[in-house]
Amino acid sequence: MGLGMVKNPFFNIFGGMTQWLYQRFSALVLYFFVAYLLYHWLQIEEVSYASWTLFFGNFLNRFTVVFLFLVTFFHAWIGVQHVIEDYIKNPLLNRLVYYLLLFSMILQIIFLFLFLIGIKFYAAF
Amino acid sequence: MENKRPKNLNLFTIRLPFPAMVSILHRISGVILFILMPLLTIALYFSVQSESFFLHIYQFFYDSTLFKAFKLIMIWGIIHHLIAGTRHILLDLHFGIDLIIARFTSKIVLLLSFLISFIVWVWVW
Repeated sequence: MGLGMVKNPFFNIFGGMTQWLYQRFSALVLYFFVAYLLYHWLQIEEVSYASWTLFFGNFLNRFTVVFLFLVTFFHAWIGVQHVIEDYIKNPLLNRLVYYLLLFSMILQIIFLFLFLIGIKFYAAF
Repeated sequence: MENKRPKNLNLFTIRLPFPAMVSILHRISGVILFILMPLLTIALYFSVQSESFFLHIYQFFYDSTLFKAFKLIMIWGIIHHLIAGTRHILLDLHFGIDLIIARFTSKIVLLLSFLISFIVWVWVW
């Protein structure tokens, strides 16, 4: 990584330690995500709204899923930034794609947060 | 200063070695997974909002032809990203960095990720 390639507050919060290390440690957490999904997938006998909401009615289950999604975003955002820096040479397009993906990620994190605290927007449907 | 070196931009004359192929597919699968992520996070949020939302999402995930294509790509993406990532972490830890071994493990990764994907594809089809 060259000097000043990626300058943004996201990494400054975590000090000057390399993104390289963060990405590898978050990768290790993601093994658990895959194992967690696989474990529950293999246990599914029948998917229904009742069993689905019973499972996610438990705060701990919601928290685990949201936490693992957040680690995924942390891991992915490091990689995505490098990919954008490496392949999109046009500065304007570079920033455009960067902010589009950042916006998409922040929106998803808001949805995950609402999912976690259990706010319902469309209860009337 | 002007750079007078000749450039070879004909990609068809450049042969990508297997380790490079694993590496670029690791990047590509990562980007694909990031781009497909909203399908999962937004669906997760809406799936618990109401039974009618749940049933729509359920049908989309299980019956729609469009999602079937996404599903196959997503499954390969996760499996390739996981196995190739494991190889890269092992390389970082100085396991298998001899060229002959690295070339061999890169072929194993390509083969294994496709084989496992194929099994899962058949399973979920």
